[in-house]
Amino acid sequence: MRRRHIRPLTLAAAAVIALVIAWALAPGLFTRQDPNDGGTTAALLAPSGAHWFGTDEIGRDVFARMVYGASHSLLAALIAVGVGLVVGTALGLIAGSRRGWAEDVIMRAVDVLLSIPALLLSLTIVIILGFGTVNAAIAVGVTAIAQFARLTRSQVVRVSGAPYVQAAYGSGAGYGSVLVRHIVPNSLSPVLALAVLQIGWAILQISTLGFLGYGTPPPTPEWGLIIAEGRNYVATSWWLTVFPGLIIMIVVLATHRLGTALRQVSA
Amino acid sequence: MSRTRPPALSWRYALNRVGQALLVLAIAFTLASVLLAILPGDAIMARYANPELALSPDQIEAIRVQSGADRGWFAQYLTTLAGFLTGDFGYSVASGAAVSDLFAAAVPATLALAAVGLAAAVLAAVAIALLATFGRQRWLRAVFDAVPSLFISVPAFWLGIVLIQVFSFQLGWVSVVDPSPAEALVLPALTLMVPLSAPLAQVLIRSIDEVRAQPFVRVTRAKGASDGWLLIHAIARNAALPALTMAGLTFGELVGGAVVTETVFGRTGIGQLTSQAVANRDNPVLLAVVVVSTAAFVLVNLAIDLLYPVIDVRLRTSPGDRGAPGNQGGHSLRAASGQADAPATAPADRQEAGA
Amino acid sequence: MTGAASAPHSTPGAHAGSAPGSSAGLRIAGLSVDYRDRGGAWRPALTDVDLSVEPGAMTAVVGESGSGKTTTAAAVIGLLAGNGRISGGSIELGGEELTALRPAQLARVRGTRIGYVPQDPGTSLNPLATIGTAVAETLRIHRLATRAQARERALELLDRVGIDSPERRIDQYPHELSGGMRQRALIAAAIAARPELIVADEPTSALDVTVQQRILDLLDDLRAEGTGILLITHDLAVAGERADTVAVMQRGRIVESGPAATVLTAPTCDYTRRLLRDAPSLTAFSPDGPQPASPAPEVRRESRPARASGAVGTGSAGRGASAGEGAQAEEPLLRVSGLTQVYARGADGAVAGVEDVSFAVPAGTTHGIVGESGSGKSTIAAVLAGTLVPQAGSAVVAGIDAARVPRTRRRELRRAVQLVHQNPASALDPMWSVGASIAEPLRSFRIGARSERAARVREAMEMVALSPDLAERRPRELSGGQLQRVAIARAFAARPQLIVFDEAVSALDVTVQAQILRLLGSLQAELGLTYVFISHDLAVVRGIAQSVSVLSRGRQVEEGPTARVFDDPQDAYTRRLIAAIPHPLG
Repeated sequence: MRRRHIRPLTLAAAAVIALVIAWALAPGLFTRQDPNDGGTTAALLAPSGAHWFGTDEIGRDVFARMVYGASHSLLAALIAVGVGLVVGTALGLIAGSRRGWAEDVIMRAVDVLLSIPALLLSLTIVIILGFGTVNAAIAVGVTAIAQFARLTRSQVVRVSGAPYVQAAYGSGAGYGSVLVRHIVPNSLSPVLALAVLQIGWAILQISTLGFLGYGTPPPTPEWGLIIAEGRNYVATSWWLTVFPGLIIMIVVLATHRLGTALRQVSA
Repeated sequence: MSRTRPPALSWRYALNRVGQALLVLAIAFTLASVLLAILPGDAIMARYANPELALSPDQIEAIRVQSGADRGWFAQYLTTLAGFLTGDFGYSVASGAAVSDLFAAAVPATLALAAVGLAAAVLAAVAIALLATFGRQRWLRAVFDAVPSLFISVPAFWLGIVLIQVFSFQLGWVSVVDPSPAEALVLPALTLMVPLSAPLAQVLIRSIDEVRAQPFVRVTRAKGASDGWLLIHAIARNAALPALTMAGLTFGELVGGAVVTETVFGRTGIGQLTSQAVANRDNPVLLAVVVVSTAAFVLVNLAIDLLYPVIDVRLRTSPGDRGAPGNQGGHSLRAASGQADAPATAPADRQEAGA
Repeated sequence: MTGAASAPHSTPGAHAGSAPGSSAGLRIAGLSVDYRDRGGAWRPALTDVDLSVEPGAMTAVVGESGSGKTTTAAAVIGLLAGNGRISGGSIELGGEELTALRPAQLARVRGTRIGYVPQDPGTSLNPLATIGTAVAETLRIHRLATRAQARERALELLDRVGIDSPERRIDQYPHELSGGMRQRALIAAAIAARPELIVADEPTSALDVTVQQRILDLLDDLRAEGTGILLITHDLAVAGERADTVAVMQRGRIVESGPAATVLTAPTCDYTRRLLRDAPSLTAFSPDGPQPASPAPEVRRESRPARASGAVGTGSAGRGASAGEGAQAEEPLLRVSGLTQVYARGADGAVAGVEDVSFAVPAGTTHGIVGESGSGKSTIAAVLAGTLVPQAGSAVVAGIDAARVPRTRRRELRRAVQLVHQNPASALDPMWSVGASIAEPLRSFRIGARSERAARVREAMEMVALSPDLAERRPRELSGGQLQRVAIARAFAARPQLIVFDEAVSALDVTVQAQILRLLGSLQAELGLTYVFISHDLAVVRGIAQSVSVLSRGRQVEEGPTARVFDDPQDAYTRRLIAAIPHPLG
């Protein structure tokens, strides 16, 4: 089958994601500056050829901080989506395939998770677990469980009722075989597309927690924290906030684009 | 034979839905109070002894008794529950003040912000969706089609900072120092509007597209209808239904948005109360915020669900009318054509055949 | 089959029945329409189409899916899809050139001068607007009536199209009406502004046969009042019975047109002849009597291995070798008795589900189950396949009661009974290659060694006249007819004793349908299989089944040998059903 025509925007999005992953894996390749020590560099320098995004109040290169921060933000986002994907998909699979009381219990629990505003749920978990990168990631991941569980359950229910599943039973396949060979593969592709979409969302949520001061502690260059620190100089040094924010936005936009493209393919 | 729905059925639906909402609320309350009050119970009580709070031993003892901390966890749970049912949310461990007093001071500002932000978001979403679907030029539609994913990708806290930078410091349009109440509301409301309008616009665009592809829209066009007529008479109500559901679900975003926005703009309100509570590990305050906003979320969505049958006439027919089983394997040719999806089809067809 | 043609009465592309120079009615001349594909290239959908509709006459455009008939209708009402354009030719209505009009001018023609009756009444009415609003909408759009006048007129129109108690219906919503009534309401809406032309795009294909007949009668009445009607249909029999002029379309061209009687009795074009031969209602009721379905040349053309070919006659004699064994057995292969599964009971005695259905099917024969939507046909299929435990009754297949199958024998039953669904596209896992789908019963039932499976899949595909090269393809890469062959191959691969076909050919074009039916006939003769054939289409059932059950509202109103039931129906409902089949040839 001919592959669907890949749109240039989707390619650009993939390129952005690839670049950020490279930042996270090998930040030293992209900048020679030290993200945590400004050394003798002057503070609050405006953007220039030497310091693309300028320097902050103690002379640290903002671009270097963003490059080195990618690993924190990306890792946290992956942990968050991993928690949501694994727990949510498992719950959704059980609810969708077992039905009966198990489904009732799981879906009520999902309703509860959905009805507590996401940020408040994250804050509740952060306050219990304590501040920090991993804890913030888990907190964000818990709020993603409900969506994954709902989507997986509805997919499993939809696929289970599809004529081809009935036909597979008719061809003599047992429940386990049908579940593994037909239902799970056909249910999962939209769920994986959602996972990609959720990475962008998780980056936003984690940077929000970082901005509020509940994520990674300073001086680690976490993206939300970088903006929070630059906020004190908003009247004079615009570059401290504008560039980091743009980077976050572009990365989130790219995951969004990619997730949407994946969803269209999987539909 | 009359096919109007017996009122008893709609009452059953409503009661069922109300029961569900109460159940969810009860579980959410239990979960939050266990996590925030009961598990860390003694640690919280210990913090009331903080000399900075300057609470007298009598006052601390009163709090102990009132929160049931001197008894078992179940008693504590019941006391907390009773307190929430009577509007007594306990005491802040950071300031020693009654949480209900803190709420009373914070709620009006947040309500004003939320109302203005939500109204702006709905207007923006409708405008974006209309331009993305009915825009005259192809490029115009493409641009506005992309707006929701752009809006969804903007970090709200950053947007607030940029707005302050541009409109207060660069352009000087909005004063940072001692603004009028209305002036103080503009930028925060804009900040709140962007992330709120994105999902609404997205759902609206998708549902307008879906409705427009429906055969009945083609039939209406074949009657000579203009785009305007189509929009008002055929599309608007049908497309609004999914958007209404989405509006209810974005309520959670509204609360989260208020936390971020009030922090960025330094506004007093529930959001600022929340972020201070987390910073100070002020569990009683956070518990109250969580419980009250969850209750608000559940009630708003309950109201929307109960309102739904008023707007969507199809829901006024009871599901009990559905005759043949829909999931018993391949159905007849008609099942796919949409004729069998209506509950009243089977009996009426008989009438037709026997006429 | 139609007799040998005398001199051709018409030539392709002729203006059948049009008086030159007259300006009334619809004149389409040399119309060409292109669609832009994804790559941006323009591909022709219609080429040089000539048609006319006289006032008070009906012209039918007949064709299979993709022939361009719906595009023709869309071009006339000026509602081509966004990627379509008229690249040549003219459409004249009452002397006015429609292709030259600007969009706003065209909108003024729509509704007032051309009424449109859509295909699917289920989705063609705004679900949130009342019937009265829909019926009078044209009047409101064109400001031809005040709100009160529009309501008056809607009442009149509802009465005119034969909807009972219009005063009540006018304030009801579409979901409260049956499909037939909705289609009446749509016709009422189409004629609200007394248009001179009605374009009816497959107006009855989503309706049951008895309802179809009434809707066609209504269109007939409108024609008698002087309205011209352009009827788009896939059903040559309907066209032949109702239309004055018939135009046959294939691949965007009109390959034959002329007076209905001429086109149906003396077709000049091979394609028309094939359509006539394959249309079950025409062959089964032609003066020669039922035509035995026999393997047709085009089946062989599709690399069909030259194995046994057989015919399904109306008798049960003359079966293949293996069928002989079944015929000797005293007990029929399938015996259904007192089968009851009632989901709901209507006030008028109607039953949702089935009640007290009994019939027996000897091995090697075909039993037809006929009924309209909601008659309970699919409930029977579910019981036979062992997926539904009925409230009462039994269905014994080769010694196993499918209605009360013990856990230990469930697999045995699944293997003995195979089900073929209506829609093969949804009955095949979209992520699996079709070869893997065919192999699934082999693996599940452990038929043959693992190493033999590929060969068996090839064999099964050859048996249904599919090229084994297609085994690696995904379902979305095959056509509907090919997919149904795959589904049949899968059913045969399990080596069942009974195959239940649930509307298995209903979604296919007539020529494909005829191929599949011939294939089923020859496979039955070859393998001695027993079929239960469920269909809403009496003509198809008559062509393939030796015995038949007629279902109505969940009850079996008649059962017996096909010839007896059709020639001498005892039940009023059966008679009505038979009468509703179009009789284009008199």
